[in-house]
Formats: sequence, C-alpha cells, structure tokens
Amino acid sequence: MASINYATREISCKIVYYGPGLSGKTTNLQIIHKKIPDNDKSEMVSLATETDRTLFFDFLPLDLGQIKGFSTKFQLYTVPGQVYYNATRKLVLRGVDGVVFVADSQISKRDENVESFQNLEENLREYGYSHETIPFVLQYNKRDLPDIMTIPELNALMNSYRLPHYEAIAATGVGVFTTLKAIGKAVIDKFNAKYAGSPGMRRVRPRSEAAPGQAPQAPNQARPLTQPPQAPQGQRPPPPMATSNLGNQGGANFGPPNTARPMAPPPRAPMPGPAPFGGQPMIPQPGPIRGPQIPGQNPLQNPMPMQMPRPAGFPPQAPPNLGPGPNKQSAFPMNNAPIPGGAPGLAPLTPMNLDSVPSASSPFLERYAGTTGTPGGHTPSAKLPPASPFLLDPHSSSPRGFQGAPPAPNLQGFNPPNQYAPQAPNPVHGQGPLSGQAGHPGQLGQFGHAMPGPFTPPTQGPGIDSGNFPTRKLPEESNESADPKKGFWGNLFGKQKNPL
Amino acid sequence: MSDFVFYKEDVDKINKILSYLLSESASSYVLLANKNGNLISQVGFAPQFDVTSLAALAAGSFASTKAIASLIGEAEFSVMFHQGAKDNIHISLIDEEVIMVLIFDDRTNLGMAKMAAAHAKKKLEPVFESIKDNEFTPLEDAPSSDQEFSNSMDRLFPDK
Repeated sequence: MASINYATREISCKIVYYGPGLSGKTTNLQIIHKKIPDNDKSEMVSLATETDRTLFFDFLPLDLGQIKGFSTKFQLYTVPGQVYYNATRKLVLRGVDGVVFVADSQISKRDENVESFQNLEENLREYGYSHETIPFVLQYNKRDLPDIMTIPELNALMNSYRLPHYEAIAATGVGVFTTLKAIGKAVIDKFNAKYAGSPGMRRVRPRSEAAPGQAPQAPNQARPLTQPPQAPQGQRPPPPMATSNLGNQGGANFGPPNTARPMAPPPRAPMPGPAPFGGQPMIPQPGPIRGPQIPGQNPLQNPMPMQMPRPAGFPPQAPPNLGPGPNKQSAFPMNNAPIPGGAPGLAPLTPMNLDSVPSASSPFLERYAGTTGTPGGHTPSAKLPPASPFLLDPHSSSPRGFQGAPPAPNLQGFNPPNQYAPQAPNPVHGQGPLSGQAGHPGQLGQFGHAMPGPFTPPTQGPGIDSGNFPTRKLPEESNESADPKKGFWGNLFGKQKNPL
Repeated sequence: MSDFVFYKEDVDKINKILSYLLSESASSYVLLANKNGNLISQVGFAPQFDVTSLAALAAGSFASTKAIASLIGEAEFSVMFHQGAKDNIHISLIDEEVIMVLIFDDRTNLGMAKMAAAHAKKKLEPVFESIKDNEFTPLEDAPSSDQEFSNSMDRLFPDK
C-alpha cells in the first residue's frame, strides 16, 4: 500500500524483512545504513531489547531519488523473529509493498526457516496478500558458515513458488545490496504494472463543483504557480504539483519555496459554497522555521527564514477578541480569517484568556451564563464586550453541558461556595439573581444551568440569599437525577451535595 | 487496501486544518501519518527530530495499542497520550487509516490539545474520505523507471 503524494512528489513504499530469529534481518538493515552516503543517510530506528534482539521492529528510511518523476522513498522494516512475537510481526506487515524473507542457511535452522515462512504466509493471508500479489524475494543468509544447506536444498525446502533467491553473508555485506536492488526493482515494477496505462487516461475523481468549461483554480492563490505547456486537447492535465518539498524529511510543503518545477494547472476546482477556510487561508510556513501564519506576511514572498520565536505567555499567538459589538462568529470555524490586532469577531480561536475578560466575574461563569440556550442562541448585549471567542461557540465540542437548555432547578439561595463564585457583589436579597440579565456575561450570580433559556429572565428560583448560605435543596428534594437535557454541568452542579 | 494518493489540493486542505489546529491548541507540531507509518503531512515549528521515524514509530505504537485494545475487548483505542517532562504527544485516530500526532508542551494543556484535535478530526474526515477516490497518474515526462532505479541504487551504493 504505497503512499503517493502529489504535493511533495513522493511515493513511499514499505519493505519488510521477515525471517526466523537471528537469521540476519537487522544485520541487513545495519549494513545498508552503514553504506548509505552521509548526505542521504537517515537515522535507523531499532526497537530492541537490551541484548539487541529486535523487540518491535527496525526501521530505515531510504530515499532512492526520482522515479517516474517522483521522489521514491523506501521504508525498510524488520520484524522480531522469535515465535512468540507473532502479534508484532503481524502489525509490521500491515500495508507492506514488498517482502524479503531472510533464511538462515544452517542445517540446524531448517525447521525454524520453514516455520517462519509458513507464519509469513499466514500473516500475509490475513491482510489479503500472497506471494503472487506483492513482490517477494528470498535471501539465503550465512552462506559463509560451515554447516549449511545447499541452495537446491533450500529451494526445495521453502521455495516451492520459485521466487527469486539470493545468497548472502549479511555480516560482511555480501548479497545485501543485491537483495535490496531485487526487491526494490520488483516493487517499482509492480507499481508500474499497477498503474500502467496512458497518462491522462485514468479517471480522477470528478469535481462536481467545478463549472463546466471553467478553468480550474488553485485554492491557495498564495502559491506561485507556473504554467506548464498545455496538455494536448482531450487529454487530462496531470495533477498539480507543489512548489516545495521537504527534502529528505518526506513531508509536505515546508521546503524552500524555490524548488522550481513546472507545475500543471490543477484539474480540480476549489471547494463549493462558502470558502471552507476563509479568504485568508492559514498557510504553513515554508522554510526552516515553521509555525502558524503571521498575519500580513506572505511567507512565499519572504523566502528568507523568519526568526519566529515561540510566543511567550498563554495564549501564544491568537489575539484576544475584545472588540466591541456582538460577536456572532463561531470560535472554531475555518472561515474566520485571522486579523491582527484583535479585530472583533475575527480572531482565530484562542485558548481561554483570563486577561481578556474584563468582567469581574470568572470567565468560567460568564461562559456558561451566556450559553445556556440552544446552540447559536447567544446574542450578547451590544453594551458589553464579547467574551473570548472560545466562549461563544456552542457548535463546537465544548464541555457537554454547554449545549442544550437545562431546566432551571430550584436553587433557593444557593451560593456557589467555591472558587468560581463571582467577585461582584451579590444581588440584593430577594431579587432574582439575573433578573433581566439572564445570559449576561458580567452579571452571573448563579451557575448557567439555573437559567431556563437563552437571555430570558429566570422564571423560578428566588435568587441568592447570601445570608442563608447554603440553603439549596438536596438532590432528593429537588428531584435531580441525571438528566441528559441538563448536560454535563447541569448534572454536575445539580448533583452537588450540600457541603455542610 | 488501495494506495494513498494525495493531490496538492488535498494536502493544502490538510495543512490549513493542521495550521488551525496548532493555533487553536497552542501546540508546537502536528503530523499526519497513515497506519503503515508513511508520513502524509506535517505542520509546526521546526522539529529537531527525524519526522519520518516519528511517523513510523507513532504508527507502530498505535498499532500495538490496537492489539492491547483487542485483548480487553475493545476494537481500537482512538486516542493515545504520552506525557513527558516538557513535551507531550497526543495521538488520535483521524480516519480508519490515518493517525494524527500532536506535540505540545507546557504552554498549553491536554484538554486544549484534545479539544482542538477533536475539531481537526471532524474537519479532516471528509478530506480523507474524498482522498480515497484519488487515482495515481504517472507524469508524462517521467523517465524510465528501470533506468532511474538503477541510477538511484548506483548512486547510493556505488561500489556494489
């Protein structure tokens, strides 16, 4: 199961070295890693025991350069050979594109070879693979030892499928690269055979949103695209290419932006309807310094690496949303374009910023005071600064009690006896705590779930009686059981027992 | 199991979502990988580690926890969290074939990371659903694979 990335022009293939324990699988990878030129060398990862026995797998990425216009990367894995690690071997085989079976040529290892080969077939079968569907080569290792089987014997033992086989002395590197070349070429050939056909004749997912005859447009206009020669009439242009790559890192669009390669016009139109991510998309930073977009800067127009220190403090980057006026923007939609300076309603999501809430009350209370209604029902007063956008998104997966309108429990004189108690003076005794101010972020005297609906005065509950603390009815009196309509916070505080 | 084919638009969409995820969670780095360990995309501050290895190890770790889950009767664990002294890793299942690795430090907290990751997952799911229909088209100007492969191997291992 190869991974093909048109943006980075990469094809990743997975090759697994399989075989009985101590047959030389890890040694194969170590020799390959040792011989790779330093410029192309990546770290080899070994998950091994203290005695250097493979515990999970060994992993070696190998960049083979350009093949069919794509940077081809092989990921070489080994498996633990011991019989009792079969579950691990099965995991490593997932998504394999080619298999090298490393057999131990010693006569004493005869049964282990057969058992391991049968185990390999079983595990492949579980994934729907077989020697016929994926490239498969055999390596007869340890040919330098004295007490070994002959090649015909080994073939008769485990090569009933007449697979390609190679002799090797992995410890000294003999046969290691021959085997690697064989499996690599087999994987590439398989890949070519799989995708054989005239370029442009293969169907690509149609974009129904693209108007007929309309020239496709890249969704990200910030990226400079060069127009290649037009494809012949009636021939579908090739998929678009990215202008950047990751080099050896194998990832996406962080490389230098000037890795010039002619780019084809993208055949697919942008997403339909409203722009999914707004008019000012957040573009990952190219170059060595990566991070969220700095508003106002087009990274592709500033190819020099930007020294972008980690933002100090919390939150690190998002401006507080303190602009005046109602803020009906969702806190999490991608179509809220970030605007520097904390423009109202347009700030990207910021973590809860305590400093940004001017009210004397806890933002925690404000949050749940103003959002007790149905989703989307919050329309804060124009006189009040809106709370952080984090606080205003009932569509998001906020804490569960955030949504739904819990019924107003009987909260006679209950005063929150904890750190969430508001710092503002309590309302006058006998009045409703939120009279005329239900949902008011700055006037919360009770928990949000006490309010019957969005921005309507409570219809019951006499309010806070600070002189009679606490007189709230116990759950059995108020008949409060777990009510899904109350949501998380409603049930949480509704079930709170009398602290005294 | 078909191949993963990502077009540039797909990667652009993914990267925008990941960028927003970083902003939302105040995290430092995020990558997407498939369960085979292949890196799909990454966004964040310049990592000081080998991202290819990170993708492979995260996929391996996720696969091993799936085996653990099956032992206790669960189909799969959708979220993994590794807490370190300074940096933490939150691994979540995005699609049946894709995992997301989110790295954050003490500038934010696990709750924010989990919440933002959940948001990103909702946005990424339709993207990966559409990617399943993508098909690979070789480049017209691509040279012969045999020649290229031999050249690559000879370049890597000149004396062999």
